[in-house]
Amino acid sequence: MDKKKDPPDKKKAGITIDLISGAFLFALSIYVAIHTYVALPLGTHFNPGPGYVPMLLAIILGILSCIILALGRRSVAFKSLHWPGFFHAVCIVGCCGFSIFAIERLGYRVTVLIILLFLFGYLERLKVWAFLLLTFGLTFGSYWLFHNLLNVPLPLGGFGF
Amino acid sequence: MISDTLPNLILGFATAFTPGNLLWAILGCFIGTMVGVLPGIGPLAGISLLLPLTFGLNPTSGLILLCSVYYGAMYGGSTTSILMRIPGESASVITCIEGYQMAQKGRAGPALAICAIGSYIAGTVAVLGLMFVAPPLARLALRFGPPEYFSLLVLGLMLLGYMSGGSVPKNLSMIALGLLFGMVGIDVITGYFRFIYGVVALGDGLSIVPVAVGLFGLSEIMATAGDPDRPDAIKPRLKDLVPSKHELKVSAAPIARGTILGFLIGIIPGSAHIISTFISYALERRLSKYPERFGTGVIEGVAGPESANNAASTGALVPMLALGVPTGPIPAVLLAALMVHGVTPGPLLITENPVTFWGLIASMYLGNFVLLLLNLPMVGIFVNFLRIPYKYLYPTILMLCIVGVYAVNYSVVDLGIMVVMGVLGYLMRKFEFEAAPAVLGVVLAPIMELSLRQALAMSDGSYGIFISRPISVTFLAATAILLLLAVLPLFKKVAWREKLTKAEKEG
Repeated sequence: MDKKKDPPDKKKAGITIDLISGAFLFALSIYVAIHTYVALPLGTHFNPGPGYVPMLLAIILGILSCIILALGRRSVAFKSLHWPGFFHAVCIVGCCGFSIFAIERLGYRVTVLIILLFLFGYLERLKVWAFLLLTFGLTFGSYWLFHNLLNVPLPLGGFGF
Repeated sequence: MISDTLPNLILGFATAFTPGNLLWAILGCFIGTMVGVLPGIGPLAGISLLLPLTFGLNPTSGLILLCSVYYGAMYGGSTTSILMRIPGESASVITCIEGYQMAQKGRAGPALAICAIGSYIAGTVAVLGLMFVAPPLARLALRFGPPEYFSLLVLGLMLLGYMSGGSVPKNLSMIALGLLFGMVGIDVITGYFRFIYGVVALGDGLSIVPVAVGLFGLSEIMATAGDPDRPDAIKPRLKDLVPSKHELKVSAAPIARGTILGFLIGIIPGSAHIISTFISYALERRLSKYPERFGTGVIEGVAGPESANNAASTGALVPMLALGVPTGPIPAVLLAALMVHGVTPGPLLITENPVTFWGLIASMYLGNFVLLLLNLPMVGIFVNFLRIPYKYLYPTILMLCIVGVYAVNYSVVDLGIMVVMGVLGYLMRKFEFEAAPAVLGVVLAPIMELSLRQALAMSDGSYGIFISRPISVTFLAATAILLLLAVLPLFKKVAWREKLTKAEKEG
């Protein structure tokens, strides 16, 4: 039987998704509360400081995460989660990370060209003519559309390109 | 009231009927339909990505373009539901049931035509509602002080948490998380930097576009890029589009009921457009002479929910335009778009920017008509978009995400926010959290914090101010009732919440 089509196992839950997410949110609320207390003035009820509302929200988030934790056994087991296309997801995040590094250093066109070459050529294994056509067409087409037609200035790299 | 409205409407039509605005409305409807048709983009990410394109336009033209995309996307979602049994967006899930069954029986054309006609009528009537409800609501809102605004926002967020699918505590925790994200940046009252960790660019706070594109657009691409290809679409012929006299006759009443229901439910925060389709479907089934036929391809089951969906989309604009309070993530992005253009939404919008408000109203009439003209003859073209394999589409959408987010502030920090939100959104899908409450939390955090602090300053630090003022206490009483109702699903399964959760997952 195809494992992907199995319904999520609720009975033998063990560690469930709600236990994990509840614990994460609880830890986050504790961190925000401590950070707020240490770094931001809370002020008074009459004159609330910049830390007043974040502290209030950290307390509310903490209470809600406790409720999620308390009801956590009812949710699906963490083990039963499926991660189809996880490699694609990692590659997409990698491409976005590359764009952060490169867009102002290499310029819009070179950055997008490299990303599309990677996605069409390596990840999707398109035929050479198809991936070259799509990569160059989309890169220069989008630059023309945004930069020239819509007057949205896009960055040029160190090579002036 | 009519004597005030008519000259304003003429002003609006004069604004909307300029060649430039006409072009933006047509372009917006076309792009919106494409966004709605293609699973994987969605109206929210579509509108967010197009936001930078409006920077070169005046506020009225920009808003006309974005609103056209919005209702184009709401309409376009029905095409994939009918032809492929894939909802282009969440509100089209109900249309899958009857619409696809009709398509299987060779009646895809009439189903699409009734969708278009129903959407046109619902959209047009809902704009009438918007025209007459928004101005008095705005006048009422002028009486609101900080305590009333704070209580209204608490009620709105509570409604969103309750009316969205999934678990209520999880939804509320996402609202709290969104509000915390909204705390990043300079405190407007004291000038303190909060949660910026040395990144000066974060001083302005997290802007809505990278947050929305990350949580909705990027996470969607991450979740679907590795999935196998989708099934083939059924392609209807143009000559098959005309519904029979009988089909038109039996669809009239469901369209009328769906329109009224949709508009009224649309004003409520939360997944109102999805809920309105469920209620409309249930109502049509209950009123039908042959309820047993529902589920086998009944045209009333398409006409009612689709009309409700479109009317709800317009209804959602009422609180945004009249009060400056968005009821969902899409109105929140539209609100952000207005603010980018220097227009402050809220009670004074109608009096201070009549050209923008009434131009938008008139463009909605126009947009609904354009959708009707555009979508029926061009359905074949939109179906062809569905045949493009996703491996060609997602790199293109990713490229648009990058350029769209970067171009808002020309900041790589925004790209970083998009990536963080994308990963968070991907994990939220896996761990069954809703993203919409978090987005709305980010948008409302500054107004909410300011209202709370001003109200406390007004009352010498006493929380009693919130229960000593009639409007405020009414909002808080409604919040308390909702809180009690929200506790119910923790102990007992509630049918509509189960259905809503399922629909949002499928969408």
